[in-house]
Amino acid sequence: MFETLADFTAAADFGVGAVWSVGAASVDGIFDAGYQAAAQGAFAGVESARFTFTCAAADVPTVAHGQTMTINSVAYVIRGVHPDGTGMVLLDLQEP
Amino acid sequence: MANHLRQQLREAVATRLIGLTTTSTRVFQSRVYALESGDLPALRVYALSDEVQDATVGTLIGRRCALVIEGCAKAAADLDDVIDTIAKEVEVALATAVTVSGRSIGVLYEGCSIDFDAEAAKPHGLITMNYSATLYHDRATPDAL
Repeated sequence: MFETLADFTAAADFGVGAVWSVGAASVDGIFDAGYQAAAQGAFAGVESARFTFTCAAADVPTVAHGQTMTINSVAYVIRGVHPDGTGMVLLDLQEP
Repeated sequence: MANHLRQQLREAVATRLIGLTTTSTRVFQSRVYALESGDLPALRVYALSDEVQDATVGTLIGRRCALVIEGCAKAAADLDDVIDTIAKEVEVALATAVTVSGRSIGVLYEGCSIDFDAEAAKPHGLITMNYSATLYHDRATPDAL
């Protein structure tokens, strides 16, 4: 028996609940906000973060750049869509 | 004894760049640690190398100092415009000579490169502007012209 993809993204476990701008749909997924250095010059960069949201591709079938995913009351703009071929999709998010 | 001429030059350039419209007082010299996101837009000023350009009379040497000025910014839109505005403001500010060891020294623009970074929370831009200045001094007094 296989687990469903929803088991990996459930807000009750590791996931968070998000609201996709298309139809104000609720989507559970994994939100990551890890450290990301930016504008790296000769010696120093700028402290920043990389925001991503991983969810079941079936939950966001028409996902596209420019739509938003609201997580913890912040409406992040979707700037990248990376399906992994197994039914999950990673979305690159930009701070509003 | 005064500071090394390279330091005097770097400090004179950094002082000249304080107060520009876009980067205001956010001018950092020889910065080795990452800036905080709230520090942007900002300038970083480095004196990364120098070389003796030519030997003249006796112990007089011409020291060509290479300066690197990095402009950093983030913006959700029109980031390229912000970067170009930073460049304009820096170029205008350095179009007139700075004072080093009591003398006017021209700082020459030598070109730039631009990078954009889309993986961060917001798009970041970096412009690296290269400048140089030649200082003539006695080799026994690297602190005075």
